[in-house]
Amino acid sequence: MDIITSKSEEYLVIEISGDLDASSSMQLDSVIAQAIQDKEKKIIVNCKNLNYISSAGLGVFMSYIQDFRDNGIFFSLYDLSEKVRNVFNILGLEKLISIYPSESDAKAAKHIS
Amino acid sequence: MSKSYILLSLIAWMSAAMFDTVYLFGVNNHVNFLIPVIFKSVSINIFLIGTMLFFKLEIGSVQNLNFREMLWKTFLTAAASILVISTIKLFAGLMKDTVMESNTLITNLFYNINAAFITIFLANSFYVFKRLVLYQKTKLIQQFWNIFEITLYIVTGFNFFDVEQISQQYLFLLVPLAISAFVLAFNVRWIPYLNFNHKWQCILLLTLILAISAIFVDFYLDYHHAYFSNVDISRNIFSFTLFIFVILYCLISLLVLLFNLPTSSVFEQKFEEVLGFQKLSQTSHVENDENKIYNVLFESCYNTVLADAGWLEILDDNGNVTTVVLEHFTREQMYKMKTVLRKSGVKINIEPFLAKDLKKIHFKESIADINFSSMLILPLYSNGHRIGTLGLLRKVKDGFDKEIIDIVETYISQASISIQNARLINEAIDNERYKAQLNVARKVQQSLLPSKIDSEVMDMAAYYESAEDVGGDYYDIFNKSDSHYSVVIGDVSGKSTSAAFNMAQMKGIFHGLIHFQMPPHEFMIHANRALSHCFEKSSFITLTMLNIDLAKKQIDMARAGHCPTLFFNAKTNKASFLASEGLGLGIVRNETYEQYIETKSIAFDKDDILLLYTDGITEAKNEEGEEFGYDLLLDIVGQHAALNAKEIIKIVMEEVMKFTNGSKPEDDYTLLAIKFI
Repeated sequence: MDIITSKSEEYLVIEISGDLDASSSMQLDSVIAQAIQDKEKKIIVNCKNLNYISSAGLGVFMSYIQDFRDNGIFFSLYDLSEKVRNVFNILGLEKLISIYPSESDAKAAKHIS
Repeated sequence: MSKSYILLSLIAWMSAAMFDTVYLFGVNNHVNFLIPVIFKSVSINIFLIGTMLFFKLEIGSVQNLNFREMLWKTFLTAAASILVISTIKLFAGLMKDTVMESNTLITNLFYNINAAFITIFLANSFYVFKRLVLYQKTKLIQQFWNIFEITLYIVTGFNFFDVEQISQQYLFLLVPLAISAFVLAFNVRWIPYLNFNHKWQCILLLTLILAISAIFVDFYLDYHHAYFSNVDISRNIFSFTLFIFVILYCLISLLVLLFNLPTSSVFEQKFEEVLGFQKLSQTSHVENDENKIYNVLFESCYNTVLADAGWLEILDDNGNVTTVVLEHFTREQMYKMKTVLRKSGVKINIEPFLAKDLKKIHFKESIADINFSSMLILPLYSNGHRIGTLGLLRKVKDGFDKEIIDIVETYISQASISIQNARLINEAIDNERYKAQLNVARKVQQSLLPSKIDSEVMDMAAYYESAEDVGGDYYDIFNKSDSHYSVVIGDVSGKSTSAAFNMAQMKGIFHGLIHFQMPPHEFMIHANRALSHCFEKSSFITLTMLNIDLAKKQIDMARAGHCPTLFFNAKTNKASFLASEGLGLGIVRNETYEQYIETKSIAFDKDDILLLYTDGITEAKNEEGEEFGYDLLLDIVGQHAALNAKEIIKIVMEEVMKFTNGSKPEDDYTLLAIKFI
């Protein structure tokens, strides 16, 4: 799994590619923890190349939901494959984390709210 | 075998002696008994060869070659022989003035007894020395010896002729035999292996044997010529050559021993070194007690450099001192020495440090109380990590030669391998222990799952296989009454041990709540509250809970983020997933969870099938990385709906195995099938 972070306007873009499983989820966890520590207010995650997400990977997103709310951080995922999106849906996480088809949708969504 | 030889030679000797007696009796009484000389020749040869073969067998069969012991036995044989001979001589001397003086019969008998003892002494010595000559033999020496020995046996043939064998006439044979004996006598490879003390003992023994041989020579010269023929028990080429060989070997061994005395300490030291290496390399194979390795290493180094004091300090992986071996040195002295060196900028942890004259080096602090003149400190490394230091001190200046330092360094590298091995072995033992403990955990976890699920009112079957020793899948069935069943299936996030602990908590929560007979979504709300207090932040659980009312033929179901339950409707002959909204447990850890969960109700009838499963099944991957998926599951159940619950599970698992090509599961597999009857 690879994680690349970049800044696009005021957004912190986290790009995850490959399999997000128990071992690689630790890496994602530290990236998000760092982003919160850096007082990032808009975090969007590019899941275009995210091939697989395990329960441990879901656990990482889940564990920060409260932190995002408490700190007023906008957090969303975009460009999920059908398979990965289904995993989020089954778990019910799509009710808690906004998921958008594309980067521009993700950015636009924030604009509206 | 050997006893028969000694018996044979005894009989042969008696017959030879008898021949002489009878012959002399005849001469004395002017009677000719006309016994052919060949009779004596045969007897003598049987005696000689029998004696030789006896010692060949006796000494050849000695297993553990102990040079000193062999020489000691040789000496004892010689001493015993000389004692007998001297007694006889004394006896003969006493009788000189009596009538016996001229009694040739008695004199001849004494002579024959003496000759027999000489032969025994010679044969014994000959075969003892043979073992010494052939110690660490080469092929050439072995062949040379064989020829020498065989020739000796052959020359006994001259005993069949009535000729004077020790004469100029036979020099052509005597000289080459003597030269051969001389050449063979230089094979003294056994000598260097003796230590200083043993060499002295051998010198003493050989001197005594030589002295005894000299007495025999005296006897030999004192020989009274045969009264009637040249055929004689000891005066022949065979005995003569034996004599020459034994005396030469004694002489040369003595000289070599004497010349080897001064250098024997060096040889002893080298031998110690070899032993040290051997000990150390043995530890690398078998020793998992590190302390033993340290002691062997320290002892070997200490003895090799002839140190007067020393220390060995061993550190663990965190750099803490675990073991200190000290000899004539205190812990305080060691720490002081190290501190002084460190303050003086000597990096003893990284590179070897050699002080040729400690008293002349100006350290930053005085080390006057450390009364040694030279010092060697070497760091110990194992697998790239520093594991300690070895310090050796001597009272002499410049006490560490380059060769010695090389040897010590080799010891250290050998010991490092041993230490590394020992640590690996210990790690492996620890791993075995963990494995055993995991096995216990696995058994405990299996006991958390229902051991059997059967019911007279429903056809049920379950399958569980964890990807690792312990897993995070959970299922359970609770029979509230004859017509009310609660079924639960869940999957704890994460894998292995942590998931297993959470799964055990889930079981506790299930059994704590199930008695209250609440609708599934309420059960979920309570379970979520309970889990929120005991799960760590990133852990969650997906759960499906069903309340089955067999009387009303109704299923109430809540799905908390778990894979949707597969339902086969027998009437419409269609399999589908039961959709419902629901968030996994432990994701939202407050009262708002209520918004995210609902109970759905469906009606069922005879032959309808429920299939509950975990995502290990739907996410099972084939070699191309494709997932087993949901559609395949629908198809399989739809096609095999006529089968019973157990058979359906069997078919599903067979299809999963076929799909994954039998590869090891990446996630736990759990299946629970219910067919209504």
